[in-house]
Amino acid sequence: MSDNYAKGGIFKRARRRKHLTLRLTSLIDVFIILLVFLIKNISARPEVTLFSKNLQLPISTAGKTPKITTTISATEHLLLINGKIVESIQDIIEQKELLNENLYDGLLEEKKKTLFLSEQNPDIIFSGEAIIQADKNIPYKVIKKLIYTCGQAEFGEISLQVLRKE
Amino acid sequence: MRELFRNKRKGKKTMELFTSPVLNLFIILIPFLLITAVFVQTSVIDLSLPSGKNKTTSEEMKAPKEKLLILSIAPQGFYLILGEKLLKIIPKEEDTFSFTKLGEILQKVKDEFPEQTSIIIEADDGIIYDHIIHAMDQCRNCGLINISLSASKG
Repeated sequence: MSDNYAKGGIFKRARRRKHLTLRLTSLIDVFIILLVFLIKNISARPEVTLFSKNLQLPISTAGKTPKITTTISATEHLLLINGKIVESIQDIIEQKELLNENLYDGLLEEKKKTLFLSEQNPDIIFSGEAIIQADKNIPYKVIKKLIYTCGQAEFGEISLQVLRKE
Repeated sequence: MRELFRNKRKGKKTMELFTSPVLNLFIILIPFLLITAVFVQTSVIDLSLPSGKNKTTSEEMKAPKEKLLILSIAPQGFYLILGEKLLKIIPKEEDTFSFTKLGEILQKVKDEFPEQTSIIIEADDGIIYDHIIHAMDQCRNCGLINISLSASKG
């Protein structure tokens, strides 16, 4: 009798195993946490300016959002205007005068492009805005020359791009 | 008694949440949010250069109460100059600039001259960009909003 009972138990367990489903509760818990974190992180305005991985921007408490304009990036070795290489940083450090010819020519070209576009489309105006993205280890000597050259090329509204401190 | 207990347990087993639609939703939402998430946010510090159509000179004329406040960053430390005289020297501590001390002193200056909003930062050629940005942050925290950069002569 007891033997039969035991057999019945085995059968019952086997039958029950068929109904087993995946236990998803813990997975859903993880997903909910992830979802909350990602929704918290989402921002209404996307990043308009990109910078390369080898450019370490300094961290600052400034809170103004960048606009799309001419960007001058100074990495540890190269100087770029809108992603095009113009000059090496070493040359800028070594030069004596404040004005850098290559950067000046590059900026004038950018200005010419904007002026040409503004002839075709009156919505585009040349406002003299430029964003400087400089690596945090760059000496002030270089920054000074960049700002001076921008000023000479009539780019008067200069912004320094930094990483936002939370 | 035993029968009753068993029945109860059986009943619980058959009740299950129907979670697969939720899971489907999550699987779609999470990659979407991961792609759009911005982990590094950047911002900008505005600088205005003197040009032909500049307004800062006229603004400066309107505020005669403001004194010329200069923060000079030298390899040895900070020099704070108010008007013509040297106000304070903040030397480096253990070979690093003491930005917290600079903040405290700038706050004292701001308390003494509440109208003061402009400061000129004058840095040595060898000072790295990071330190200048930090010094600018300290100035901005103390309410000295009009920050100008200047180059030391020579």
